[in-house]
Amino acid sequence: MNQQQSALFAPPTEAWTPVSRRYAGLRRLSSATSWVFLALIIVGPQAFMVFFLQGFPGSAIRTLRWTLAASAAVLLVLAIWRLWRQGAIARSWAYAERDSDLYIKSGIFNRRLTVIPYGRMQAVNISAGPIERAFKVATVKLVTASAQSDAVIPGLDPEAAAALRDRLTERGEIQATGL
Amino acid sequence: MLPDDPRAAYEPVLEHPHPLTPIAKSWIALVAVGYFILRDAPDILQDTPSGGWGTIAEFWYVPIGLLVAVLAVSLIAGYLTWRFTSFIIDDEQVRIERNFISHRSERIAFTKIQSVDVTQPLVARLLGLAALRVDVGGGGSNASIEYLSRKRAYQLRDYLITRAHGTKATVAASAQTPIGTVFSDASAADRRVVSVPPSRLVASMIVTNSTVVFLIVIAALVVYGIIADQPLAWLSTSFLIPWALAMGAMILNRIRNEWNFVLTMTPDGGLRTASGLTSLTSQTIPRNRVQAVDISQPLLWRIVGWQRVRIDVLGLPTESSSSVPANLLLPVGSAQDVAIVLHALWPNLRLDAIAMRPIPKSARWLRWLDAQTYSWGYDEYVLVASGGLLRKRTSIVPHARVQSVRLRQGVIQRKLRLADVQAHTTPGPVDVVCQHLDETDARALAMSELDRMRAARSRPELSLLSTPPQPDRPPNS
Repeated sequence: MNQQQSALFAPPTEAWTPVSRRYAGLRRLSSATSWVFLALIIVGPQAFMVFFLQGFPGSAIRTLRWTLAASAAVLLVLAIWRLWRQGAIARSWAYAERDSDLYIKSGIFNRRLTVIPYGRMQAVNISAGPIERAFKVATVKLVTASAQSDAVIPGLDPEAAAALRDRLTERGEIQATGL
Repeated sequence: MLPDDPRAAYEPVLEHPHPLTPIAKSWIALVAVGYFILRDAPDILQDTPSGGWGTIAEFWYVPIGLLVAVLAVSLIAGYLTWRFTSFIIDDEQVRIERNFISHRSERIAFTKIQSVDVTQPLVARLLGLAALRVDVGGGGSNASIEYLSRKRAYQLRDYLITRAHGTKATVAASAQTPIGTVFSDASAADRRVVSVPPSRLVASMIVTNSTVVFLIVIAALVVYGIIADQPLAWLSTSFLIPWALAMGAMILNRIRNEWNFVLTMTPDGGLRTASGLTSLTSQTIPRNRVQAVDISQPLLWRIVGWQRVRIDVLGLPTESSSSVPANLLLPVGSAQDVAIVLHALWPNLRLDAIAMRPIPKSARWLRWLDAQTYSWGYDEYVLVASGGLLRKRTSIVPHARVQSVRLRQGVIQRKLRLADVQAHTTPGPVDVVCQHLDETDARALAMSELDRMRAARSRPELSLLSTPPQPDRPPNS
């Protein structure tokens, strides 16, 4: 990360508040699940043909073995690389609370920095699905009148999420403006 | 209630829809019954095939009796629905009660009204009826009253719009203002802002990007046919006819909806659009409900300088999902028409005075052909983003209406040190994105936009509107 980029997505004040460290684990699990699924779709039929179907001529079997090995290797490399990157992706999520706005940043490849004035928040929702609960994290979603805002902070510690929600709601009430 | 309580003087108004409503609603059944009787009855009466139990002619009353029964049931159901529907207008809200089989009660507070439409489908229009629809935004439930007499619908619409502006009025008082006619919803009290001649509308619909693509495909096929020595081969290509039919239907539909488009300004400062060939739809929007504006121009329109103006209003259906031209402020017009429309909407907007800044040269790697068309700028009131070659779009959003701001940067943008700044508005056709700014500019724009939003919101009312609507023209016309 060079100086320019860090300036573009620099925190507005002292520092970003990171999300929970456990969020990386959640991301790894969901990433691993989807890669396993992808592998089943791509490698599964090939393996079935190579190991269980009879009656192919020898040359076809050889070709099939090669493509099977190649696709499995490519998938494995990609999956390991993606799993390794999940930690950095999870760490890229962070937020910062200022006097009148909430800042949320995310992403390593496609970076985003979203700023929502407290006065524009229509509602603040917390959600935690079963897998999120297993990792002891929760997602805070901020609803504005715009569907484009799409302001979500995933992977928060549940207590931190509840406290954040309370702070946001309180500030939203004080600074509320009309549409 | 004390005698000096202002509410004591206010009588809630309770009314039913117009008695012809069942006919306007079940006219399809009526027409179907009439059609069957006229088409089949003579044949049935003439046919005399011999059967085991007499001729069909002897039983002619069976099918006709069935049809009459269907008609009677639908009319009675319509009558009962009408009988048990009422609406009550008091000092704070409209309440619509539907108490036929299931009971439903809808309440619309005047402060929540985003826009009010009067629609006149063909049959209702012939009967002199009109439906009133109130958009309240958010939940997406549009309360509608079907049908009222045209006069009453216009009167109530004027009353609701007056109340939506926050002005006190009574139903009786707003019934005094003049109203429009069957052909146009413009009364003596309204000021016509701009209208679109039918010839221009038709021409603009034909000269669009999709027509050009169609003609290019035909030209390519003809050239191929000549090369392949079969000059008429393109005529037998299977996909051309369905494509042409679909395109023609779309064009005709839009022409039907946007025919005779008129934008007027009501005495209390609302904007009213009215259009339609067979059915007449008029929509009235209080100006302070407009969230953002989009001016677009397909490539071919640039030759004649036409532009199209659309707006974001909370709760309005987007253009694609509805046959009525919601969100449309000007279907097609010259640059001067656009200036007039914008002046009517936001008198204090000085679009020409805003210094638009170009984007860096390095953006050519991402926008190969049209990097030079992109620009961005802002002034005290609004943020403006502009650009595009095939469809040039200029989006304008007042700082006070921006919901949130986003900085974003893709992988290639990072290498080129560019970034986008997006200003989020309520759902609608407008998308304000200042694309491919220099990184430092983007960061500065996003952060300073927050300050401008805060400053704009702390003012009592949207300053763009602060001057009362005046019957003058913009200074440059």
